[in-house]
Amino acid sequence: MSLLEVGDLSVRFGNADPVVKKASFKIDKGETLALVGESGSGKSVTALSILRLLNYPYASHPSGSILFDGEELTAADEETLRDIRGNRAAMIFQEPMTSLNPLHCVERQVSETMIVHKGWGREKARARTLELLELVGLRNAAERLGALPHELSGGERQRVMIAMALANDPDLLIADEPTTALDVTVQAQILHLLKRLQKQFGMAMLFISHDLDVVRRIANRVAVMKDGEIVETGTVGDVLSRPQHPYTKMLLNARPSGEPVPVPDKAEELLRAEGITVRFPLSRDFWGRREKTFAAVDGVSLSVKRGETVAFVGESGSGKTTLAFALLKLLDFEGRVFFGGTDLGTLNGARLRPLRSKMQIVFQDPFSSLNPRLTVEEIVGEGVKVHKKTVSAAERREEIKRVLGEVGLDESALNRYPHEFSGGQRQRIAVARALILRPDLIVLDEPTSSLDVSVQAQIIDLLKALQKKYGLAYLFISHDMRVVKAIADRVYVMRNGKVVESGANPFIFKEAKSSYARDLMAAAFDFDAHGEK
Amino acid sequence: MRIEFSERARRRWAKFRANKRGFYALIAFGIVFFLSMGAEFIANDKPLLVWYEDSVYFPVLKDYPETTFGGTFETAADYTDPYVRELINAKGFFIMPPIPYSYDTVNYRLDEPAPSPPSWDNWLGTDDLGRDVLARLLYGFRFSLLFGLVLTLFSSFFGIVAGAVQGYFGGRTDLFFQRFLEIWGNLPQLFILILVSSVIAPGFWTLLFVLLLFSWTALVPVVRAEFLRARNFDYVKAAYALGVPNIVIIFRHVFPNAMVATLTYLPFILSGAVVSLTALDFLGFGLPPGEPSLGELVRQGKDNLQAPWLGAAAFVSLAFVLTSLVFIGEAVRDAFDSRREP
Repeated sequence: MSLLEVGDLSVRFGNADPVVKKASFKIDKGETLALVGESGSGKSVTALSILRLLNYPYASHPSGSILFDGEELTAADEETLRDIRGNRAAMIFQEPMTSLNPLHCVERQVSETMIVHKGWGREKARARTLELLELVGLRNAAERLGALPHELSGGERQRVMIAMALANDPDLLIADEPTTALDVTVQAQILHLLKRLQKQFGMAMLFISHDLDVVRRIANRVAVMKDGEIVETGTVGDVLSRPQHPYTKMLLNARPSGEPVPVPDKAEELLRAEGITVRFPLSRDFWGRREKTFAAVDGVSLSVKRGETVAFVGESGSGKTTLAFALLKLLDFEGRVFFGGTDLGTLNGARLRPLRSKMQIVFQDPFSSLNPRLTVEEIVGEGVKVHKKTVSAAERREEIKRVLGEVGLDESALNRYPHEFSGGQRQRIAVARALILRPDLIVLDEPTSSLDVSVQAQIIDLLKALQKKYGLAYLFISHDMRVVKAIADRVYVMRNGKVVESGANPFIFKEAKSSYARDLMAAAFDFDAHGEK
Repeated sequence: MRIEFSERARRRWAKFRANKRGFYALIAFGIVFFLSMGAEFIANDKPLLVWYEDSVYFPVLKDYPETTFGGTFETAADYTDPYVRELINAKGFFIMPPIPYSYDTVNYRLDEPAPSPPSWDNWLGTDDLGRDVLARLLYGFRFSLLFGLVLTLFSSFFGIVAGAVQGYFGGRTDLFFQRFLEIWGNLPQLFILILVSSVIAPGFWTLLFVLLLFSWTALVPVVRAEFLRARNFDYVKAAYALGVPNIVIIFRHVFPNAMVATLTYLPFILSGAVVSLTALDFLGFGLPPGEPSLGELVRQGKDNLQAPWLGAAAFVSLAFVLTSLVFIGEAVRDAFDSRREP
């Protein structure tokens, strides 16, 4: 008998159509089942309904059963459920910062379930907490029992979450995208840890993810979810190497691939930066002068040729985005930036404005980068209004239609508002806004990282096609080496505000010199090569 | 797409109506406001219409010399004069408004010494100069509200501009303005208002200026906070990177975010304005003597405790204005609260 058997489970909210439709799967003891799908496919809702953590009675199950160790959970009362939650079945969430109570220290968070479920005393729970924290690899665990969540890094917080989940030796661990919010190198460590612990404890694990590469490493079996239905189930080997359902095939082929657009031989230099340093004040004296500063970007020099894609790679906090903002003069900086031969440091306000049309930016999150109160026509046409005042309204409209066509949207989009579009379409609108002024350089600040995998590849293809057509130069900021490999001509690797390595794309991917660059690479392409630290 | 917008507006209206208290306050307030706008046609010592020798006259709208009706003087006809009334009645007729007194009409035919208690003639009695209280209330109410509305308009304008500049530019500008506002806010407002208004001759615009000195700061913190939040939005940065001028970014991209907070505040600013004007009038530093105002009526109530209808009329009307504005304000707040469902 399986540990968990879910049969014909449907979930719906209010009177809307079900978001999960007749999902069936089972997990045996000691097995890992991965639930894979894109955002909105209903995978998290499925996971939450197993422990009945949804907002009942607003959420309801029109059909289905959930058998946990032979016990029917859909009909279970609160008391039975409380006994199971956090005790025999535990859960790890995506965002470790918000799932830990910010006011409780590590010891209290972890020992709570033991005190509640086992009725242990404080001393006994403390000893076990320490043991668990050492097990999940929290460094200096004994000294950090009193630490508050904000004093830990993202990876460390996730380790504490795992320790909490393991506190009562659960039979089932539900992990809802446990690595998505973490940096790539940390991701690899956490996955490795989960795999080791699962073996050690003989737990069953339900692993929810959108990332097929992660799934390939950790799961025994896979269930692929699309629009609330499970479209394919099977062992990892079968599903990923011989996919049956067209959706699975699409997901597998969707990963960004191909070669970067070659740079013309005699391309002139478009952007040159020397010794860029951006400092943020840490403290100020009485008169508001900076006493201590923190260099987010520290003496970075770079050059970009016309038609070239230069990628900046690094983890969060490495200063990539700050650097890009400085290059566009959106932030104050020290050092010199030459754009097409003009020193940007000598210009300001009105004299800088004509140059702004030549350098544009596309942001990471297409939900926040478009003004929700303006129509697509107003959003895309804004730059034209500012820079080409002589253009008539009709001509401007034609130009907007042309650019929208260029990014793969039709003119029915003109009078619609951003919220009516999907993430991928919004990112296309953001690209259109940047493109309409015919810039020479576009800064792409993680343009794909908040998009679903299948959409990522489309956006990358679009960007490459536009580059080929218009000879655009891109400054591509990313932490995802797979995307970078598909688009960048040259790569700079950044860490703590400094460039630690740079080189041509094939070069840096084959023989990275610095250990940090190798770590990043290992995390992206084959994290088994990389052990826990 | 316009439909989406009106959908949102409709949802807000539904939420507004769901607050019953606010909805009825709006209806009551609306009726009184509408009536007071036509005060000349309700309370006046001139007839609405005169029919004399087969032609029609509208004394409310136009002054006619007494000679028109066969009198002797070239001056404007005084329709309270029994002689003029007889002249008109001889060759036609006239229709008086429901309250046949204007705010400055002295009723010389009182049975008792002024202030006289309510009677069929003067529904709310008369004040200490024998003027009809209801008529003065109606005119005073109109002046207070119009004054309050204009003051609200001006103080929101200055408040929004100041808050926008502070929040959008931040840094030193913000720091400087904040200190200035702290000092400004700690000045003893009422004393300064009394000082200034004792130097400047009172009138609509001078009073407006005097009260504006302190009321413009009400919206600054709200708008500033919204701007500080919104200037870090990606779409604001994107507009800046496009080279869009600051003033356009402020009004097109940032200000709509502060709109809800501002609108929610307006009824409260309006009620504050009415209170300030009343306070000045009460102390005698407001409108020139003789002008109808709520504050002046309150003072009359205080001076003539033996005539409780004065104080009662002032109290009830002020209480009505202020509570209905606060109720309306609460309903507006509910309407713009996106977390609340109707």
